[in-house]
Amino acid sequence: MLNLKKSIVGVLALTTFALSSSIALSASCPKTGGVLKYGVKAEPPTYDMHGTNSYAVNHFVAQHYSTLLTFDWDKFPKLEGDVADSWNQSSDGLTYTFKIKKGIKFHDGTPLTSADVKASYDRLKSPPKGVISVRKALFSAIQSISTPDSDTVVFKLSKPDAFMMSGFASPFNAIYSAKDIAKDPKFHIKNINGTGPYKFAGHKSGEAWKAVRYDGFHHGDNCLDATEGYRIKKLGEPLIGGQIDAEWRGTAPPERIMLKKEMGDKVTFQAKTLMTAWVVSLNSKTKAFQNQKVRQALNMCIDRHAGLKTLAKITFVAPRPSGFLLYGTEYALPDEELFQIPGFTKDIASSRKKAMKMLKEAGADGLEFTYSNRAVSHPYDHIAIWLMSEWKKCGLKPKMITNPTSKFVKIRREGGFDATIDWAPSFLPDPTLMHFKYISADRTASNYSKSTDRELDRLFDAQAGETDVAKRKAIVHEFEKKALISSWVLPVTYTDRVIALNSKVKGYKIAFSHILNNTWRGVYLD
Amino acid sequence: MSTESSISLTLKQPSKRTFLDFIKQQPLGFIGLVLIVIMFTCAIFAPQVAPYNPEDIDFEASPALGGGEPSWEHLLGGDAFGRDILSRLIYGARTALSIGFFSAMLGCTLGAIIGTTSAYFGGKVDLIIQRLIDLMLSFPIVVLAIVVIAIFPKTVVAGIDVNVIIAIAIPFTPKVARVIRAQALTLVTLPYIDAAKAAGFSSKRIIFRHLIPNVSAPFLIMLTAFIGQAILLEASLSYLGLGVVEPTPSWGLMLSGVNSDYYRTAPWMIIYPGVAVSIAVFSFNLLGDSLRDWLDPKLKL
Amino acid sequence: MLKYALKRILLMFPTLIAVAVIVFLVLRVVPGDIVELKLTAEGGEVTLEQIEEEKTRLGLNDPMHIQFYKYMTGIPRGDLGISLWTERPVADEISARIGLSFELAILSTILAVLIAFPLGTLSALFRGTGLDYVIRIITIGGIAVPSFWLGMLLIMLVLSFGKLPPLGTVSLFVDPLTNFNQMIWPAISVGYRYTSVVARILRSSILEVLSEDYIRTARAKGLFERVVIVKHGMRNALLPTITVIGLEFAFLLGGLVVTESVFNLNGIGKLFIDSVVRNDLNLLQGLVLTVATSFVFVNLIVDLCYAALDPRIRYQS
Repeated sequence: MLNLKKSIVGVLALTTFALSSSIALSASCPKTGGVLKYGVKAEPPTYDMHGTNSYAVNHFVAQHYSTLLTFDWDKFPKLEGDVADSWNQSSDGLTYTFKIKKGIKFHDGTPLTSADVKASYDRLKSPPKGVISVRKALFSAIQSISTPDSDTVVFKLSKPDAFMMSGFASPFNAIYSAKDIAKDPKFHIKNINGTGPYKFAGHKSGEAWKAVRYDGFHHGDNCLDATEGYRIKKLGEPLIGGQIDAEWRGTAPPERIMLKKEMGDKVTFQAKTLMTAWVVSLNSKTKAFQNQKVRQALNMCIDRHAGLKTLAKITFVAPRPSGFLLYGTEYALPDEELFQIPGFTKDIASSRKKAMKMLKEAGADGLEFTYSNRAVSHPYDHIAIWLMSEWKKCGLKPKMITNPTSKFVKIRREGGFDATIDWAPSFLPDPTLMHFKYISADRTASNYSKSTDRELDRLFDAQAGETDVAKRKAIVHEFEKKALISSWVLPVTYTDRVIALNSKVKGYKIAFSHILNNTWRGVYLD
Repeated sequence: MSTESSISLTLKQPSKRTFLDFIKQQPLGFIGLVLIVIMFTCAIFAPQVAPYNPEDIDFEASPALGGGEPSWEHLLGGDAFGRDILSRLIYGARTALSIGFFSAMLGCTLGAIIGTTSAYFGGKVDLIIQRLIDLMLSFPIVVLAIVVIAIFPKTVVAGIDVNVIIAIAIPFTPKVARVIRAQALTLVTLPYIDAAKAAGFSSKRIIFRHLIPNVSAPFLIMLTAFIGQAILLEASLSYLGLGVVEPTPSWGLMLSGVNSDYYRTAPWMIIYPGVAVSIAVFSFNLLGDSLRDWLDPKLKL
Repeated sequence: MLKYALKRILLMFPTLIAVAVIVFLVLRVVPGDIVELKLTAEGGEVTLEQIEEEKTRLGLNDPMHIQFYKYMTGIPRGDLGISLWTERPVADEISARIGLSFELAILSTILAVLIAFPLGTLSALFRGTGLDYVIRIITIGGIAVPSFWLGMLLIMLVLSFGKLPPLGTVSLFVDPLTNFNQMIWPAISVGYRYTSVVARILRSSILEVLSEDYIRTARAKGLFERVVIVKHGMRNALLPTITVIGLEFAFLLGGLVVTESVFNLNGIGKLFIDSVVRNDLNLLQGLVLTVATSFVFVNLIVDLCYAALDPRIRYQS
């Protein structure tokens, strides 16, 4: 009797448990199974997320790691915890305390504790010899990291930093295992051991990057059995021919037309503006460009309104003008103010007339100058060809010099150009991230104009430490206006990112950058 | 008995080797020549022949905006930027022929000089030069060309990419040197060379005035063959992004780069440049084959 | 024969050493900077010191003679240095891919020879007829049509009928059908030219041989036409043909470079282009050395075949 009752209770309990967990499972994974085949247009130079900003590394590796925080993709840029369970910030903004979720294990079985978080951020902030941390400067405000117990991490800052919190959500700031780092600080350059949804299953050079589902994943929404990443050169044929089902960087408009034509409703597109800004940097050593009027004239010859609309149809640039900050985001200059600045006005004819007058007065009409271009079709060649024709309309004589990337970056750093195409990648519309490039050259290596402007530096520092949103906006707007008028760097536009997925790939939520949301949590095949 | 013969012996004139005879005996070669002349005319008189400036953008004529199909305005259609394809083909002839001609000329001339010099001096000099030639022949043409491209920075003189010319010329040199050397070897033992040496003529004079003119047959044949090769090589390099780059019009470049997304929506964009390359190489091959038949059918090349 | 063979084999070694030296010297002159490319191409704050540190770590700042010493002593051991991009041994990167390129080369050669021999022979035997003209046009097409263009057209063709074969090399021994599917189109694309050249040389060699005196003698003797051609004609026509097959192998390798890019195959041709674009000097060095060495070997084999078929060659040198 007793046994029967017990067994009935047991069966009921089991059934309830099974039902509830399957409900929980179906909540995060409508369907499980299948292999996601995706393509990446570049080769990863390293496996170490700390040491690169390359999207190639991100697309292959992000699935293997977790970060401290991540974004709520539906309510971007709202933050939610990845390995962090809860967190708070002290009222003076100098102390951040994180509580780590319990029970997270690395792919090799070892548990994740606060020590691992500390070790990872130590590595990011002060990389040991032989290790590169490309975002080192962003962590300079961190004074110390302490671990009072195995699931608490405390960051102490030396000064308030408006950007720091979002930085914890960057997919590149992966949490590594402390013991791996201790064994060999360079371990992660060639090895992968993380806590992410998919476990690394091998990568033969030039062949597929294989990964399988990690059953111990702490969020449980890894729905695919496996993923396979391939290096591709072009997106169109592989997608049509079934060789891949997804690609995360983006398609150009003509590719989209072709895909739609060939695949009909077997292809779906998702669009979101990508936070990579395309700009032209002018060399401060070029004599003609030392005259601000000449620089402004170059800006004013570009027909941003009509021209970008057309350019956006042949390559993946955004169809409208933008300042240094992405239009429509919290800190950007409102359009009424932006369209007053020379170069952004709607009347291109009078703008060009004024520009030609300014050039003549400066003795630079018919100016010949070199434009250094990167030998990549989208969007570099496209932007270059378009800009050449825009400048020619003002009587200028630009000469386009195209070089493969390795030579191009060298020329850019050495200043072997009069004007060069340039870009500012970011994943957040935060002014600290986006304006960093435009401060004086002795403070940032990415100012290829090598210009100096102490006023801009002052404004930048002011906004970086200002936590009151309204006050920060005012400072940021001043910075934008000043930089745009100074015209050492001419903004072209942002990037229109449209990704193409085979319709069987579901559950993917596109974000503001091609390096975000590539852990593929919640992605399933149907 | 009468010794008069009913057979009259008529003196047969030696066959005249004029241009008209060439046309009669080598019709295919003549066709090749005609095509080549047409291409050269296009290339030289490009600004007059081409309907548009090859760099003029016209977005309305771009397939990305729905236009670009071949029409009366744009006989062969428009490319990604709406630039007229026919005009770009014509200017592309300029790129192809100038690079093709100059690199073949450079390579063949260098090869001829090296080969003849090697044959003339013989002995140790010959041995060393032969080894060097063998060494250079250890590398496939494309590989050698790409390596040279990697080394030489892009140098543009009068609108022509000189570094591409050098890159293509260098792989040809050893091939020509080897053949010309073989030919020159048969000449060096001739008595009139001995006579020239005895007369005290300088080596330089003997090589340039007595030997080289007599290797002109294989030289010409190789030259025409290599111009065709060079055009093909330039197209391949530009396709790979290692040769000519935007905005210079080049047939190979028109098949890649900004035009590569339009295969299926605007197939004319990749058909015409490919046809252009094929015709160009084809005509040089026709001419080369016919020259070989005409000048010396027994020539083992 | 043996003496000749030994002599040629011995001569190979100084050639190979010279090749290695030249490859090293030439590649030192390549401009552009891979470290900068790796670190700064996607944006980010990288200082000059960090770049120099990386360079030193990768051995790029070692003095020339040390680099040369490491290089030359490494070769006999099979150590070709490490790729500056992936930091994996160059020998590994190459060996992972050489199988595919080798298979493609062999497949193209087999295809070429299988098709070229009947084409060339028919064209010669039925000289002047319509068949001859058709074949000649087909073969001239092979020399004139750019192989990458042909490749593009073939891809378009395949796509209009169905799916493309899967990415990722499938071994011939694991799944022959998929492997064949992956290889056949690039093989045709590369092989077309090869076929044409061989067919043409075979045709002209046969024609030349058929007009020789000894053939007339054989015919006068009353031997069957077929015997005449096969026994006397073919053997002598083979000589220049085999030379050309060997010489054209160079074009094949070159053709592989472009074709692998068009078809997105993971072979050493594509690796070569990648290493040039990225300035991966060590990898480029290893690749050029590998290609040149295999080339020297192929030349050797061709020379030996040639000598075996034509005794005059053996006694000449």
